[in-house]
Parts: sequence; structure tokens; C-alpha cells
Amino acid sequence: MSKSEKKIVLKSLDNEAFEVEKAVALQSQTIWVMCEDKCVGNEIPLENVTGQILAKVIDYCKKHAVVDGDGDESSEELKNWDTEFTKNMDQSTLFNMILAANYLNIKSLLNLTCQAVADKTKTIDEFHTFLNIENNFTPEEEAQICQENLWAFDD
Amino acid sequence: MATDRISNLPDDVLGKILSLVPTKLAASTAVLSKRWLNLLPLVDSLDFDELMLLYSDRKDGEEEPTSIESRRQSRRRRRPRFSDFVDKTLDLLSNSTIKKFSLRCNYENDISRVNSWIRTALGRGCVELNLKSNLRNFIDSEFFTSNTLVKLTITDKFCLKGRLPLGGVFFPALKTLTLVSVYFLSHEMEKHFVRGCPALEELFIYVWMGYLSTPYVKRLTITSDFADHYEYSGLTLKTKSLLYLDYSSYVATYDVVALDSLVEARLDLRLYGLDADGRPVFKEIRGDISTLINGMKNIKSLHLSAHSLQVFHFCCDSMPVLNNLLTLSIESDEEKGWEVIPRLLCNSPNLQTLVIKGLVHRVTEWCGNACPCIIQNEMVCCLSSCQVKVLEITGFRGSLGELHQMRHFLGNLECLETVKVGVEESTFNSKYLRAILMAIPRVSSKCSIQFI
Repeated sequence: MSKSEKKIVLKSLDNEAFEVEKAVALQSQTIWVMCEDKCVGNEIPLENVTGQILAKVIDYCKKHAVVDGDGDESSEELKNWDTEFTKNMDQSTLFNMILAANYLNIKSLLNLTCQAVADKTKTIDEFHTFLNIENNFTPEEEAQICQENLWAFDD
Repeated sequence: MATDRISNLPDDVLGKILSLVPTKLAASTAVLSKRWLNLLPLVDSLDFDELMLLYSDRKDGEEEPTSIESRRQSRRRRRPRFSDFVDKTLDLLSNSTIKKFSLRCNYENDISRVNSWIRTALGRGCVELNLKSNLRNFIDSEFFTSNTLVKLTITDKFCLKGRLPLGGVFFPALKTLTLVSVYFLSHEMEKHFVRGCPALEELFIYVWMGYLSTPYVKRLTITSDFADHYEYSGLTLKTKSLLYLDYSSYVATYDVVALDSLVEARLDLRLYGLDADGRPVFKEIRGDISTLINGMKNIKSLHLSAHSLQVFHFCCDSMPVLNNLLTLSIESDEEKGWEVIPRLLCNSPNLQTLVIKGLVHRVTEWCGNACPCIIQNEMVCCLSSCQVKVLEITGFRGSLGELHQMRHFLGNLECLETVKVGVEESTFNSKYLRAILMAIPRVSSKCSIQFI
């Protein structure tokens, strides 16, 4: 395989192009299927992901590209890297990462970002504020839901 | 202000997020908005904690400072609600796989109900199961079985009772088992249970277990803080495939120890019979680790806590020659002596790496010439026959005693190639200290000093 065949270009929604190793990009099941099916050539347009988010996704994939001789220590190091990776992400970046991981079908990244949301929402109030969800129930409807599931709303 | 993009995610992603929070919280998200109303059936992990409080600032398990009577009432009110919630949720998920199931009972001890939950979880393809109970809850052992379970943790007062499952096999796919302060009603059940998990690779025991026999386990962690009435009971360890042992306990007697494959051990053994200052009272010392050490004589890497050094000195009548030992790592403490060091070095003829955390120790008459504390003119130094190539010292503080010790090591260890020194950060003048260390005469011409 020549050098150029090993590389692949990913193009973001806002037309930013990223040249990456194929092994890095193929962690995305979506890209994998695109490569298999369409023979799209070397450039893959990703219509749902902005350049800013794609850059982060590529960072993640580069870190997680299969390393030979994976020992205990490196898996520990990878875990710490993952924690740092999501630790300081703001809410909007985190959601965009979830959407991207879901669209690109990168299972481990989806797990990681969903875990980061779960870690930040320990109470129902945090769900409301962190996830910025607007309540569209009437007070009566809300009381009805609480009544149906007493223990869940027990304080 | 960011908009509510999370609600636009597909159902299965929302289900994934809800699977990662306690089920009580997941269920209560129904009040967030209409989008969240019927998502609970999408979760694949359930975590029921009877003590969990949702709105309150109190920490889990903390009771309100009210009268006993009102606490009882609140308990009476909560219990059926909790059980109803578990029943209802399990019904709601009746068609789905439950990957992970965690149950923490604090007041619920309706055995048939609790057993039906566990059985339901196991029947739905559960991979990870965590059980914790504050009250005695018997698990019906005959039905405590599954082909899919990989990870199991049992904590506190859940215990097994009844007949064995078909063929005596509890969990054929189980790889990791953790038992925390669990007690088994009978020795038989204890034996049968571990034996009934033939694929077990990793075992964590935070409880006294007098007998452990399993030919498959590769990694074993034993932590028990039980002193006194267990002291006379012997310990049997028959784990022929074991590669790694982490063992922290008071010293016992050892009946049978077979650890033929063991590569690495971390031992934190503690003495009985210490006085108020932590010094051993000779007539109260008991236990003998000779059988234990003999059972692990093929090990390559041994790590000893400061307590263990004492135990090796006082409770090891015969120490085998550890021919395969390449790395010895010890923790040192100014309260504990180095009496055992000469014997350990002498019985480790192929030792390559010696790691010492903290270079201070208690000066005793019996440390021999591993240290320069008491000059012993008549003997050949035990360090000079030592093959050690790498010496690693961490937590170096640069006291006069430590510098003497370094001079002793560098002047006697003839095969040394690399010395690594980690100087404690708080040390006032580490640059000066480094210069002094570099100037120490070395008996080995190949020896280089690195600072880590």
C-alpha cells in the first residue's frame, strides 16, 4: 500500500479538511462503512460535524488507535487521558461531541461522553440546569407523574 | 445560552445516559419534559439504592435528626415504596436485557421478593451484579446461577443458603469476584461457591477466609483486618494458577500454601502483640509465615511493607532460598527495624533490583551489616556478595543517617550499575544534596546515579 492510500481526508461541515491515517479514521463505523461501500475516494465529507468538534474527535481517535503490546500501564494511562479529555469540556462542546460520536458511530467515545454527562448530573436539578431542559408539563401533569412513582420522587 | 440539544439526541443515546445514573434519578427524569417521559424502558443498567435521597442535601444514608418514632415511620413509609419501585421497573423492562444490576437494601428483608429480583436480573442476561445489604438477606443458592455473569460483588449481609445449583456450577463465565465482609454460613458453601466459578480470574476478598482452593484464579487480593479470634485458625491457599497476590492481614498460621505459578506478591502482614509504642512484646508474638513463603518460592517480584519486615523477622522460622527473585521492594519506617534485610538479601542470590521507599529505619542490634548503624567489624558485609544492579531509593530526605546509608550501599554493592534517587520535594537544598550524593565513592566502576 502506498503512503497516500494509508491517509484519508475528512471534511467537516464548515469545509475544514483533516488528513489522518486510515487506521485512526476507521474507528468510526460510519467512516468504515463509507470506505467499504461507496469507494468515495480519499475525501470523506462529514455533514454533521463542525471543524472544531472534528478536531477533538480526531485527537481522541489518534490516542485510541490500536497500539501494539497494550499492557496494564498503557490502559491506565489511556484512562487518565480520557478523564482529562472530557474534564474541562463545556456543556455545548460535550453535547456536540455526543452528537458527533453518535453520528460517526464511535462506541467508546460515545460511552465516554455519555459518562461525562452522567457524572455532571447527580440530581434532578442538575439535569434541569446542566442539560438546559425546559419543562413543558402543567403542574397537574407533573403531580400525576410523581404520584405514579412514589419512591422515585421520595426525598 | 445553549439550547436544549440533548433532548434531540436519539432515544438510545438518552437511554445510555440514563443507564449511567442511579435508577431512581433515571426514573425521576420523567418530570423533565415530555421528551423524557417514557425513556426508562431504554436503560440497560439498573442501580437500586434504598438509601438514595433525591432532593435533599443530606449525604446518602444520613438520617434526619428527628425522634426515633418519626424515623421508624419514615422507614415504614419508604420500604414498600422502594420495593414497589423495583418491581415496577423490572416489569417495565420485561423485554430487555439487563447488563448491570446493583441492589442495595437497607430495610428490605423480604427474602422471597429480594430473591425474585436477583433471579430476574440473572435471567435477563446480566453481566455485572452488585449486591449489598444492611440486614441479613439469604440468597437461594440453588437459583443463584447464570451463564452470562462476568463480574459479581457481594457486600455485607447477603449470604448464600440452600442447595447447590445443577452440577455445583454457580457462574461458568464469571471472571471477577469481590466479597466484602460477607460471611458464609458454612465452610462447605464457602468452598463450593468459589469452586463453582471455574472461569474466575480475579478474586478480591475483604473478609477472613480460612480456606481458598481454586485452580484457575490468576490475581488475588486479600484484605482482612480481623484480629483476635481468627489468630489461631490456619489459612489454606491452593491457587496453582495464581500470578499475582496482594495480601494484607494480621499474621496467621498457614496450613497448606500452593502458589507454584506466583510471579509477584505484595505483602502487608502485621504482628500481633505490639505494645503501645508499636514495639513487639516477645511472649505475645505468634503465627508463622514459613509455609507461606515456602509456597511462593518461585516469585520474581516481592514487595514488603514496613510491618511485613517485622513479621519476616519474628515469624519466619525457615526462609527458603528465593532463586527466581529479581526485584525486591521494601517500605521502610523509622519505627521498624531492618533485622530481616541481611537474611532476605542472602536468600535472594539472583536479585537484580532493590527498591527502598524511605531510607530511615529503627536502629536495632540485629540489623547486621545491611546498614552502618552499629559497626560490626568481624563479619563480611552481606552486601558485598549481593548481585543487585539497580538500586532505587525514593523519599530521600538527606539526613546524616540517610547519607551514611547511601555511602554504605555505594561502597559495598559491587555489581551496581544504576542508582536512582528520588529526593523528597520539601528537602531544603536539593541541589547541594545532589552534589553530595554524586561525590560518594562507589565500589562499582560502572555505577551511575540518576535523580528521579
